[in-house]
Amino acid sequence: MRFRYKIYLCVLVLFLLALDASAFALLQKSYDQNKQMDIWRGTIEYKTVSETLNHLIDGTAGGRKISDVSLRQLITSFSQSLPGTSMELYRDGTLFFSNTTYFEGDRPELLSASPMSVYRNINGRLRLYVGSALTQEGLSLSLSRDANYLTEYYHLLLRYFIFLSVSISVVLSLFLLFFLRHLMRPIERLGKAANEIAEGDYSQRVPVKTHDEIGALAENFNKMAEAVSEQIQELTLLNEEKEQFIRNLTHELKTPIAILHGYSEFLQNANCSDAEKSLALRYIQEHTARLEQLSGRLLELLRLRNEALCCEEINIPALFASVQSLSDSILEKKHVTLQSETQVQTLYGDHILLQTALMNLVENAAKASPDGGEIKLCSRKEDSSTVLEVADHGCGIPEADLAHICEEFYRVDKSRSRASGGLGLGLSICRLIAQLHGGSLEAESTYGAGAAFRLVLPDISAQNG
Amino acid sequence: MATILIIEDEPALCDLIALNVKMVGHQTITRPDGQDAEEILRRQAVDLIILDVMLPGEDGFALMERLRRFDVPVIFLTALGSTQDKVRGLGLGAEDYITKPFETIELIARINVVLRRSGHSSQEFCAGGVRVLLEEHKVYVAGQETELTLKEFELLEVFITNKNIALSREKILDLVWGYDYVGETRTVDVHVQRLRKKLHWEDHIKTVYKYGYRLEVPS
Repeated sequence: MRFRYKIYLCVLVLFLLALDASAFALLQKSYDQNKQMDIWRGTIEYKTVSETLNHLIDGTAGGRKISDVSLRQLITSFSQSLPGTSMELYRDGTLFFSNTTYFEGDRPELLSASPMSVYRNINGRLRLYVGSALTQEGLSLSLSRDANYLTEYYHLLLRYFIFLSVSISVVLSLFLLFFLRHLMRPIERLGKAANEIAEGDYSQRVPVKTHDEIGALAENFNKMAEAVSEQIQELTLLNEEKEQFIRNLTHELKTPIAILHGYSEFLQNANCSDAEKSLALRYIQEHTARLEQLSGRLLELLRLRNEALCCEEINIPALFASVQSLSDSILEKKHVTLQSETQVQTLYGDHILLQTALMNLVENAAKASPDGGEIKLCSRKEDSSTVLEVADHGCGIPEADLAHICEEFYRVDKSRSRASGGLGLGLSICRLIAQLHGGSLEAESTYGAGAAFRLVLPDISAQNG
Repeated sequence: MATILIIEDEPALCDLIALNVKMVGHQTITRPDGQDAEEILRRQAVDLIILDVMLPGEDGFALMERLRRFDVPVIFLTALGSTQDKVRGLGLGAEDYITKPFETIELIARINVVLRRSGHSSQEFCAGGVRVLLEEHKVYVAGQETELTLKEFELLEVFITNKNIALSREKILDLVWGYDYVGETRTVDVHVQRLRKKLHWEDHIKTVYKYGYRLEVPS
């Protein structure tokens, strides 16, 4: 059963119970009140009648016991003067006179000294009996009057209340259902949205803007959906990146293996000349070296991903000096000079990893630089980060490639020609090192005019307190 | 003998294909990209193009579109091994689609199929005093017609197609007798001996130690 019908039924049952209980109490009270009034009126009438009768009897008999004949005369004429009221007179315990229907049963009012009233149901109609003993010995009088109007009034009210509670129930039902439907709509929307999200539509949000608990729930729900969809997006992206990585890795492995296989087959099977033989051997050596370089770089990436940082206070001029001396052979080959400028003297980080990253960047810069060019290595402060920058005036990077250069195996030179000799893993390693330090690798370039790579490293010591 | 244009950006692979194709007697032109492909096709007769898909700048598929009007058969050679890529390559009108890594003999066999289909393979083979008319199944030794059995002729054909390349006994068994042949490699040796004798090719069909045989003729 739907929630709103449950609420509806509960409210309706409670309401009807309350209404009917109070109506019944009211009815009972009003019936009792009317009965009291009726008895009071009956008693007054009885007193008047019995006093008059006592007086008449005394007057007729003159203090002695009244004879049956004169009593009958008296009572017959007296009873005619009271329309609507029936009279019974008992003499010595037997009925002497009656102008109403007789009935069997106890008559306690006849024995009472003061007027006593009793309601009796005679032939389906309510009658009020008031009676007592009269002053003359052996006489008792009972007056009775139809009081059925009390029952009729009671039944009228009862019918009215039943009509009232039915009509109120109908009206209440209509209103209740309308309001509940209105109040429940946000919850229904919430349920629908949750269902759609469960079915994979992560862009779904709940359009509920009420200022109550449901509104708050919807808001939290939307926040949750936002977080979930962000996570999913991130996972999808990560998955795509991983797939691309595997595709690239497969290609990077397949090519040298195809070459090694092809040339070894050629050497074994072909009737080749010495020149061809040495060419084949040269290619085999070249690609074996390439595979070795690739496996080394992959291991380095793997190690970086799994190993914890070994942070210490680094002297930046010393770091730059070690980078310069380790990159000497590459720099000399292209007659490139390395200028360093240190605005910040110390840095908190992993010495060996930062040295690796800077060497990679310097090597890239040297490859991009023209013969006799210049590379600038500098450190400076930016907000709460230390920036290590490697800038060159080389060939630069086309704008379309700039966003992708940190991806594994991405090369600006798609042909994989060995002219620039790269594997496309250097910048991935640099980026990973920056990320391990909680920072990032930024690249900036004007095509044809040079490039600048910045390792932006937030102050770890400051973060850790 | 055919002229084959090889467009492949990896120099090692480019040279490898060229060396193998030269071994079996074809001429080659090699290019690292497709920039001047149209000019080459205009300038000289090319019988077949071997085209890499991942090329710097314009890729192989795009280049294929451009070169279609020259009506030269194309074999795609690529690391992209998905069915989708194959369908795309063949849909562009390529004769064949070979994925890396490939076997040399397979490459040569496919080249020969394409050349034969397009009518560029030569019907006549002359070397070491022997003239073979491949179409007519006729062999002349020193001008005299010599009778060969069917298997001997098929063996000769395999040697000619893969000249200067060593063939293992198992490979020869496969190529001449078929995969389902349950014979010994001795059969190959017996047939090679007979062929040597009939054609006086003792110096040309070389035994490759512990491997197989190679037909050596000047390429």
